[in-house]
Amino acid sequence: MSVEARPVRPFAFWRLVGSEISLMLSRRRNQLGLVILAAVPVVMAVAIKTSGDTGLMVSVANGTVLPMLALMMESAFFLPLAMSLLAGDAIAGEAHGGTLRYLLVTPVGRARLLAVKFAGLLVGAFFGTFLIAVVGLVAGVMVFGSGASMTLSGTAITFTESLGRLALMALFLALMMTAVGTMGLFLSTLVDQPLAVTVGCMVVVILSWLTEATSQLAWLQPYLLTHWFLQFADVLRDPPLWSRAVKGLGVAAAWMAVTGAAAWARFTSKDIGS
Amino acid sequence: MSEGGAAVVTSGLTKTFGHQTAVDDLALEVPTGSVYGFLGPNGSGKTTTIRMLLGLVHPTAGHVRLLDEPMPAHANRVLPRVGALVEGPAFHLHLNGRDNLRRLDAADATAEARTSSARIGAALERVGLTAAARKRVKNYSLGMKQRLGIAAALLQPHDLLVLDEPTNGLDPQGTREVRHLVAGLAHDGTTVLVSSHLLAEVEQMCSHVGVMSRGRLVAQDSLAGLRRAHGVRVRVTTPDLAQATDALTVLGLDEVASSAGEGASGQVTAALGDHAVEAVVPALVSAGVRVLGFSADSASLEERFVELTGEGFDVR
Amino acid sequence: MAVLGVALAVPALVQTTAKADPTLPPITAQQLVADVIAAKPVAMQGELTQTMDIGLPEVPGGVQKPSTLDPLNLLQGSHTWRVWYDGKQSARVALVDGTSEAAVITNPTDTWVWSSSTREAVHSKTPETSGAGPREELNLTPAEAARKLLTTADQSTTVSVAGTTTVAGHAAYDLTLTPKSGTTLVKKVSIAVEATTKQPLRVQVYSTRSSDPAVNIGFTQLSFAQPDPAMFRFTTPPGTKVTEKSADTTGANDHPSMPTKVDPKSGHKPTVTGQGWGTVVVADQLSDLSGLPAELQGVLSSFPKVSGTWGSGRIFEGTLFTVVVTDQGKVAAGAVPAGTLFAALG
Repeated sequence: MSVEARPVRPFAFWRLVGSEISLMLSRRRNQLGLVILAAVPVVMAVAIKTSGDTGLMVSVANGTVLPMLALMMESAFFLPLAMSLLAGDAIAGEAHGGTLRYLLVTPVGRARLLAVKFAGLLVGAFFGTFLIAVVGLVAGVMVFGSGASMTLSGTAITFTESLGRLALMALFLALMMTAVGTMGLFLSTLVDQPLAVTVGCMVVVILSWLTEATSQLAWLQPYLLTHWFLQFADVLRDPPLWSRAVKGLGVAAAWMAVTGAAAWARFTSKDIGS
Repeated sequence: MSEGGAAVVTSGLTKTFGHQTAVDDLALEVPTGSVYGFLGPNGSGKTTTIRMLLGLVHPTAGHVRLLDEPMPAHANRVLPRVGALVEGPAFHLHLNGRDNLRRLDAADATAEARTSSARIGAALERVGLTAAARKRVKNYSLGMKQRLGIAAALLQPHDLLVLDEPTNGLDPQGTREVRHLVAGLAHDGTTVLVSSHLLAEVEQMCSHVGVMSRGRLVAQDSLAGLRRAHGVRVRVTTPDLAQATDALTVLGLDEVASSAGEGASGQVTAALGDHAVEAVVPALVSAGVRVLGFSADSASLEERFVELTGEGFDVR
Repeated sequence: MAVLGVALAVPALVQTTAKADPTLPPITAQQLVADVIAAKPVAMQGELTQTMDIGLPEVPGGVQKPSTLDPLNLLQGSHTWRVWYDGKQSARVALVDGTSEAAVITNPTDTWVWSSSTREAVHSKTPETSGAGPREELNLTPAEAARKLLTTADQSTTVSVAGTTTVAGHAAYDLTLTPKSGTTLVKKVSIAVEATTKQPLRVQVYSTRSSDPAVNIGFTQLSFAQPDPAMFRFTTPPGTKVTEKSADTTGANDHPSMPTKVDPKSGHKPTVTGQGWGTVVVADQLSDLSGLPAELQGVLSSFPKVSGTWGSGRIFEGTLFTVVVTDQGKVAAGAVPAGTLFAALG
């Protein structure tokens, strides 16, 4: 007897991506993480409402300024931490739990599984970033309303226009976080301990921030992802300053290419011993 | 795949981790349609071999052919025809049994999404987990996890099933069920490779046996063939172990082995083969061996394996 | 291999891609200098980066460093500017460091200084001018910096055209000023002059102490298109604190910590020794050190102590200039090594 060779189904890749996303969402820890990410703009809204002051970027705020500030705050630590956790789960977590070997003998080709994991991290980065933006926007409109705002250059912009700029900021930051996640994905192919991946990824992020504060290492700064995180503020200038944001995205693309290729090289040749 | 060919063939298969050789020059041959018992004590290299068969671990040297295709080069073509349970079941503990199977079904690019639920339901039914399908795997007993692992291997029809220690953690009832399952699958034409450290289990389930010891395949034959090949073994009790060993070797007996016993004397055993049993004692005496005891009997499979592997087996 | 290739591509993404030098018709140094001085200001808009390595201890801050026009900030580290200029009397210069912005907007009637981090605007009437060039705030554009250097160039300087280069996509001559004096810390000044408009696009000042430029101000992006006139207007956003200033004090009181304020405090005219690049200025009786702003005193006390036949004091040895402040309140400064200053003090 011989089993008939079954054809590969259309959309099989996207079915597994869907499975990956629902797996990520099913984890209690990730749910908690999303709540924390969303809580930051709400807490900021309450703090601004009760204390009166602001520390806002601009003197005239509408509802979009709060999510912008929340994104700025969370880009330093919370968002990279969220990406580090997801990256830890991606390969190392599956290896640690033994589920990796079952995926691979199913079979999911190794390159395909890595692509699925990357897609999952991409979705995670966008979901986390836009969650902050949307929750922040709702809280912001409640505190500041939906009137006009102003740019860093001191010019007025309408609510609709500032919504567009908020979306651009979130998009930029989501791509930056995808680069952090890709770096974490590489670490995830190196070890079988998800916690080690998370720690390793955060060590890279924190060392990058320290480098940012060390003038002797100024030559190194343009190569680091963190150097470009806050560059999204450039879209709040009038006219928006694209050159640095584009450079930042270029650096993020380079990080994704290098660490993604390293992850591929490592994962496709690795012995799955757990 | 030709009937009567081999579902699994390895040649010179070797895996070293650093200085340690886990699998050494393995020439495995699992005939198509057989239930092959891959027997060996824990740590003898069975699991590493199975990982190499499935492309999880890259061999240091040697080749693997699975269902007439080279591995791991054609993994994407071969593995859809292979079901596997590797080194114990592993699942996402926070998901229930059904969701875990759904995840593995989604991972199979050849599986149709539309019929997923039916497949999963049938597989759960087959291993008797329908009632527990909505329970988190965290709350499963080891036996239930084992059955869920087998269910995962049964999601799709397969030409070859690789089951690594499938009865681990199962109660006698569960073990019996697995045995029936394997028998049923074999009857339907599926080749089954079952690894085990339990001789009794292999004797009850398998048509063929390969014995692993310290990374090497020390015997491989059909169960009947192995039994036949035992023949008669002679056993000499003597204090002169070295002289007895020499004398039996000079006489032309095979598989001469000596073991020190309690006190001054020990035992020397050998396969009698075609030799006349009455010639043995005179030969020993003329060689100056003090024969304290002599017997000639058919050894059990178990004794045979103890000799081959130098280790005992757990016997139920 | 792919990994290596991408890794090598990263610097190209970060730094401007190096291109072969453009081919331009040959020009003599004299002609080029004349062209630069004769060149009419043209409308332009673009982005500049400024990198200062003059030896001042840098205040760390990284990307979160706020945009502030404080000179102590501008004399160190890297800064990015955006510039709009209509070629006449209207200009907008914005410092766009970090997540804030500081800008000077000037048009024939009004001048605004805007700071997004303090949310303050300073307004003044633009003084009537007899068609003078850009305002004081525009000193940092290469145009003004280059012009100043070219007018002060004299017998002490070798002026040559060292070749061609490309700045922000524009072909340019590399006008190089090399001090003849061996006593100065300035190795050379390199000015990239745009080939057709003769506008300086980049100024680099090299020190004898470092192979990288100590001062590097240049366009990274530049267009000679006429900017939108809206760029030269400023409407005070609601909620902004506005300070009105009369025209004649604009600028002068903006920066109370500016070191230029120190000299007028002393009753005596400073003495000047040496000439050209080796000039040393000695200011007598800066009688009251404690009268200095606290910020400057802090900087001063961080400099190492030094002593000699001339007495003792503190020394700042930068890449381009040296300053000695004696305990008696004498100040000696010059683009020269410490020994020259000691000699001038003794």
